[in-house]
Amino acid sequence: MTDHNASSQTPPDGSSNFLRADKVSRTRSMLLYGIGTLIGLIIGGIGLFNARGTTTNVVPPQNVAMVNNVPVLRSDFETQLETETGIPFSQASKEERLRVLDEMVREELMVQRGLELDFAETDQAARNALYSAVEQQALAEVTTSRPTEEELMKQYEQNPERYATEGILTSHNLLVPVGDGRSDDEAKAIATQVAEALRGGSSLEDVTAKFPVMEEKFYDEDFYFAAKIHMGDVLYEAVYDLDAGTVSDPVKLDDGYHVVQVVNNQKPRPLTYEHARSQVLNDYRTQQQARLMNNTLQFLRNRSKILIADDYKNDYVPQPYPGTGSNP
Amino acid sequence: MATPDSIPGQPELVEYALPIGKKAYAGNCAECHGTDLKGQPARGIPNLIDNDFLYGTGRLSDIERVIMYGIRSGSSKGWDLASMPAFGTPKPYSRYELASLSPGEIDDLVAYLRSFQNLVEDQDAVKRGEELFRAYKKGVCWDCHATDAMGDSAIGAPNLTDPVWLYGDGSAEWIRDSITYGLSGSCPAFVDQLPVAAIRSIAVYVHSLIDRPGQRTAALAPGSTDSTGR
Repeated sequence: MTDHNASSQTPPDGSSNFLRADKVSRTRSMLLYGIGTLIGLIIGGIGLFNARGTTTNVVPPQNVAMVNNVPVLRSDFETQLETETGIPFSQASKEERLRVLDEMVREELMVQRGLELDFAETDQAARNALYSAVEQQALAEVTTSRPTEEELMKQYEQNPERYATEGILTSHNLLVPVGDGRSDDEAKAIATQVAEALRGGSSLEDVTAKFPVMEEKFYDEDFYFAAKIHMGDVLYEAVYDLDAGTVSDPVKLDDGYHVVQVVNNQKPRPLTYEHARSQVLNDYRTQQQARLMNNTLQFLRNRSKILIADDYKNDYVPQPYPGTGSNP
Repeated sequence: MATPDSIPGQPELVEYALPIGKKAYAGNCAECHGTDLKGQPARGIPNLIDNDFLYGTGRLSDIERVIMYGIRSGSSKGWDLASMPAFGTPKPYSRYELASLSPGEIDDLVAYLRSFQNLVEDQDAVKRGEELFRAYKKGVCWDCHATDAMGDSAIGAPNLTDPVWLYGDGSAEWIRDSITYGLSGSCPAFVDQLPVAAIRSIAVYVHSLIDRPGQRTAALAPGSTDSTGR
């Protein structure tokens, strides 16, 4: 051991002065250390409570202003001016430019103040805007992604029913009402005769003249989805797959028995890849967005501490991402 | 400080920016818009140099803004004011309520739009289509494309009266598909990916090649090399 314990041993002659000097030096060091700490705290405090302490004195050429080191881009400035004045930037007067510049500086100041006041915690509009901004930022990569043709073709080939034209249905809907002295069985029997007559080649006029039947509706070239809305699910299911010229069996609904004569039925036909590509691309991106957002939310949940109240915690299950713009 | 729209009038700036812009374009834009800048009509990727502009009026600042913030890019400063509704679907538009159209109504609209190129003989269909185009409760096409169908470059609604088609070739089939299934193309925002100077240089490069009647296009054509051999 060399001499770490030397100071605890009896000093040689003259060493008492050395020790005293050492003691004074420590006091001075502590004092200077304290002063340094205090100055540091003061500078830090100024920087913390007075944002001007952190600004730069240089405005880079692509910016028209810097507000607490936050740039106001010239491009944004020019667009803002043109939006407000409706004239090209080059034709704007100096006064107009200065006015818009001041507006943008003021906006930046207010936004920064809004962040200080933490409006995200208390203001619903700010929360909605933040939700939307984070969502869009997270999805930006997918929104403008350029999937390969192989990826799109795979999507196309795996969903042939989706990439087809919408079917188009034209039909006459005849109704044999129940009630007014006509029983359910009687109405059904009449409807059956109506269907057989139409199948046998009778015209619509002949049938409506011969039987107590009314034409409730003529559906002229409805897309399948519209026909489904107009007819209702039950009648649509009985009709949509029938060929042109055929007649449905009687279908019982609340108001009586319906018989549908299909005038024309253009069944869905596959779209070529080239025609469907835009739709395929949108679908692909939508699926990727959902996947990405679910991953993002999973990541956020994993790094967060989420406590659910006792009356809900047993039932609470995170739901899949419902799609963009879904902020409640 | 030169504003974007003053650059075309300053040859020394254009000369400086062109090789930078050409290189940056090749690395970031050519994959979609092509090395010839003529886009892909079958995929709705626009021709950048045909002097027909979906957004803005073709000023250098308009081009720069699209490159910077994109179209439906997720950037709040990008263009995303409207999309073409899918009128042949149960819910044509996600942003607000719009009525679906029947196949016959869509055919009438197709006839009306093709009548601008004198391609339709059924004048009754054209008349019905025009009425639908200008209707308030159905169709409502005028809301974006203007009552004269000449579009609105402030929201990216194309002029439907000229022979320039963003999607397809202007055939009845392509127009019908566009009305039936809707459209919403996109362009990435490069503001976080490229330096501002590179974005401006791309804008200068694209702007210099626009085929404006009566004007000579820039010397640095897509296939050529600049003085440094790049």
